Amino acid sequence: MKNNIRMYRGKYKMTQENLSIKLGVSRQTINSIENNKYFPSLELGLKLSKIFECKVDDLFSLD
Amino acid sequence: MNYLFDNKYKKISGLGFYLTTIIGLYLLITDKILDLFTLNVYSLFSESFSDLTYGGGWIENGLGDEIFTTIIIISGLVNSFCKEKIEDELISKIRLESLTISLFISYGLVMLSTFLIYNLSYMYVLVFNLFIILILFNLVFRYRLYKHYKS
Repeated sequence: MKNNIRMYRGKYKMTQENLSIKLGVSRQTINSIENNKYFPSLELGLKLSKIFECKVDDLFSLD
Repeated sequence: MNYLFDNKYKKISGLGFYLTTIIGLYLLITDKILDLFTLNVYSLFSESFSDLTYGGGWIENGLGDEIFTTIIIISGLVNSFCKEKIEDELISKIRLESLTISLFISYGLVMLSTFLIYNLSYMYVLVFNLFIILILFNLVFRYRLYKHYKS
């Protein structure tokens, strides 16, 4: 599974720290998601899509 | 709903766990643990290897091992299952994986010991296994958290 979180974060000019605070997770978790070391739950995926005002499909895609 | 303890208990339980584990191990090796706090206690069931007496009743017993076992288990459980400062789903995943790894290793050790250690010595393996699961889980979980926080 691939994700475009880093790209969207750049678009919204957010740091990993800012995003982690909004999501209520640690900065390291955002880093792990961006580096495809951890695939987030549906709940976190939906929260991300709400923050970046896009569909979950735009954020995550299958290889 | 989760069953984790509050983060404020992490430091004190960690101190209690590692300190009592080290002291308990030292007292066990030096054979002093059974002589501590000798009292008359009520035993529901007791079996002595020396005089082959069975059944309950009042017996004289050193409470050192019971006290250390209780402190190690309680502080170990609290320390291992304390919330992190930011408790998120990745931490839960790391915790679950660490528990799985430690269970596999400890039962692997028990299986290995079943074929290599016999008689009364095997009982020691089972007693140690009580603590090995907790100690292994604690070490694996802390190491993986350390790696996670470093990333």
